[in-house]
Amino acid sequence: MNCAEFQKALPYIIETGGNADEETHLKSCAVCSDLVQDLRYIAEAAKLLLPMQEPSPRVWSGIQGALEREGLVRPLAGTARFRPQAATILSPRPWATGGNLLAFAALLLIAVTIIWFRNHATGPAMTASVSQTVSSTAVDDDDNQVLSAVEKKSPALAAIYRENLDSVNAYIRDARRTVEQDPSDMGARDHLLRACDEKALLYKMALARTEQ
Amino acid sequence: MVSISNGLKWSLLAAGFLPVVAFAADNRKEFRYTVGPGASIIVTNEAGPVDVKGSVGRQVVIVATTHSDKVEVDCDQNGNRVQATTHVLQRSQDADDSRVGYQVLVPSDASVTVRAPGGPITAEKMRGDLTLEGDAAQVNVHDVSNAHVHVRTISGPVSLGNINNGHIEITSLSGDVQLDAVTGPKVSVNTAKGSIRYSGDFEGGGDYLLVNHSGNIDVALPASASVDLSARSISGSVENDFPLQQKQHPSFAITQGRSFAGTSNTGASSVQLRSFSGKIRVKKLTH
Repeated sequence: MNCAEFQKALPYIIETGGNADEETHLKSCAVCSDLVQDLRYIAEAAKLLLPMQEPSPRVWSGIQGALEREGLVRPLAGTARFRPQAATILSPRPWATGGNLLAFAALLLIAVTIIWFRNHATGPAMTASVSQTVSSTAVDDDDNQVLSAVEKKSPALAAIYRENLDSVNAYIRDARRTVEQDPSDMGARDHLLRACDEKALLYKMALARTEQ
Repeated sequence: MVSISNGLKWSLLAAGFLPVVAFAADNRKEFRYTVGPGASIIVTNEAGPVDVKGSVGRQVVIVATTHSDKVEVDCDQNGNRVQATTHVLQRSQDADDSRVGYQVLVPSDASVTVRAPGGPITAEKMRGDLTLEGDAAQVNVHDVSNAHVHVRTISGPVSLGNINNGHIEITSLSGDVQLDAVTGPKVSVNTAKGSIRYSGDFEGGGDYLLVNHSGNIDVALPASASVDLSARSISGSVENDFPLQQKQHPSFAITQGRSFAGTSNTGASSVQLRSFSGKIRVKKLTH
């Protein structure tokens, strides 16, 4: 089994634990092992991040759709849908808000994108996909959901978040454009990663504000 | 007998009375705990300053000052962990109502986490790990050694001074970052729009990485600094006023006005300055 095969089957491996072949590959491949470790870390962190209600199936369908469109996961057959384990094991809390859920969903999408980018984007051939992926992380709807969640809790901070979201989106756009122009520019790639990290930080801090 | 006019009487009365009213509105609470080595202290404050100071001894002293009855402070100890949290009981139009000021004295080897969106946050004389997080909070850290220092802000400016042997990681979206005499094996600053200023000798054979999007990066270092320095601004500019020996094999193609690379002395510390569209300026520090 090679890395591509392993990573194609990753959602199933995470869900089921994987078969003997996959386990053997995982033991011998540092890249895939790091990727699985990162995903598990996010799942664990998600448990700490938000005490929340079980989101509606529509939220997970949206994430599933976005991941499928970007080619990060393959479409699932039948009725099985993408459901992060971290969310499913959380107990219901009556005070959770829709803003929390959507902010979490957006955070998760960015986190998956960053990890995917780190593990895949090593050559020019991947550039087009990378651009599309990053582009999808800067969706206005997600940003607006996060901003409205912050505004509800702390109107004074909402303007600061809005301004900084614009800045970080501009950073992502600039870096993406440069990577598109010269896919071999490792400096620009590094900027793109850092810009994504900064946006993830902003989402994380926004989420923390909505929980206070 | 000296006669006092009615107006003066009222003025004197008001002058004496008002501070009493102000004092009565402030409620100062003090909490004391004894902790072991490597204790963990966590302070969460929605609005208002948090000052952390390292001290000798094993006592944690938390002094919290509230300014209204619309807010309360919870402090408790679980084993070697002490936690102080502000709870806003009632939201008010007056932002001052939810403000709480914390002064925290901790053993200098304690690990401290502060979350204070409004800040400011100050930490000094520490040897334990620091994690400081504030949205718009100004963050000041000084006189810290042998510690991991993690700072995260959205727009709050960050200032670090006199940090020895630190593992520093600063991320801010638009806050300016200033580092004076900050050294260690790993120093990393990442900001989107903020400017970065470093003044010092990059001592310790460390790995220094200063990155931003559109702000400027200004570095001033003495001639004695031993650095392997590279600077690149993708669409901005670079200026160098520091004597460097050109490298035979820089990690990127050198473009006049956009990038440079070189070493001074033995090149003990790696210094990477990266901006997307900002200006990078490196100059020799003259005392």
